[in-house]
Amino acid sequence: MKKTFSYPELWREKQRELPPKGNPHTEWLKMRAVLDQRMPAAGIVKKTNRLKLPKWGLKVLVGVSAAAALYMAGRLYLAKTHHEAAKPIELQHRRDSLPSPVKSIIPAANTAAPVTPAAAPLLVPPMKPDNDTSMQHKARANQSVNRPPALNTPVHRDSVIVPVEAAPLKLPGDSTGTVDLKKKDIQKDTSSNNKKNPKKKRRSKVSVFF
Amino acid sequence: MNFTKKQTQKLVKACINNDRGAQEALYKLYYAEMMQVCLSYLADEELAGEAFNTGFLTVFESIQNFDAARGGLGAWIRKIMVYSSIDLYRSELKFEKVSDDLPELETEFMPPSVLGKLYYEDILQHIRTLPYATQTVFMLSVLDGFSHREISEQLNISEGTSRWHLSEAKKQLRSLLTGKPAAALPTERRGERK
Repeated sequence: MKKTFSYPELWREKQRELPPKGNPHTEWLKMRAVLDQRMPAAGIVKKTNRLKLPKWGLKVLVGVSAAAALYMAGRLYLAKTHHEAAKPIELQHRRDSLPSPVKSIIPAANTAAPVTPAAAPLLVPPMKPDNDTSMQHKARANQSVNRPPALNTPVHRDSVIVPVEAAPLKLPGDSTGTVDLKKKDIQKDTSSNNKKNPKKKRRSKVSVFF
Repeated sequence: MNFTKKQTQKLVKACINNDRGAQEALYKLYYAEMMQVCLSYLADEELAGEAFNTGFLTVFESIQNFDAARGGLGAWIRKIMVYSSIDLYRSELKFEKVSDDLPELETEFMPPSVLGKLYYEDILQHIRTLPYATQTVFMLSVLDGFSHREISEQLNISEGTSRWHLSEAKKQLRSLLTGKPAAALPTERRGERK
């Protein structure tokens, strides 16, 4: 700008004498339409603001998630401790389920030992305690202890063991002997398939004909 | 427009962020003043309105370039309005080329009291009787305080041409206002027509 500006204020005042023309509001509406075309970023900014969480909302979210995490951790811990505490009780219960003569035979040292299939309660045939003597109890207990470990696996008292006979083995080329039922079934299946197939073939022929 | 620096900074910052509310506030704040600037350069109201909106669009698009340390916001917007008005009517600017060594003509001192008695609209009517190039140089120099170098850069003319047009405008206006016919300028001072 020129340094020796002679009448700046006077000219400005003179310029202000000009009557204002046009309506600023209507002119702004025109301007806004132009701005929306040329600089439409304002709308996008507003949309992104909508997606933002307020500060207090974020705090609440963090607090709730922390509380939930604590609750879950506590619950898991309690479940674990409860499970550990319940184990000896279960053992005791098993021991209680044994008939009274056997219970008396098991030495006190065995109770502290870990529960293994060998140390598990054994199946003992029911007997009348009134007729048995203490010597007989001892002998039976020793018998059960000396059994092989596979037989010492815990079996329910009321369960009945049924012997299963081994099925006779048959070689693939051997036609004699017992009839293989499975093969019969297969034959049945194939025969039923053969009955159905002709229909399908006819259909296919027709389709080819056309 | 007595805006504090802080308020201006706030408004500018909001306009940089493309805030429509702030843009509307700025537009309406400077509407009257800047419309008068455009009407001074362009006689046609529609053209003035167009220049005004184009100017404000430039303001909003380049407001991040505004430096408060270099001047006020009003002065910055005013400059943009002036350029916008000139750009709109640039095709009508036909300058006479003059040699650069032409000395600036002596002008008679006009007391402010005389200017104060005149209506701006009357002065503007007289200015508009001048050729468009001459009145533009006069307005840029006298009303808006541009230097000859700034005018020459803006209008793409030499500084001598700018000086000649200014002195020519003053002479013609004096004769119009006093009623005396302007003395014919010597041919070497009028310059060569191109």
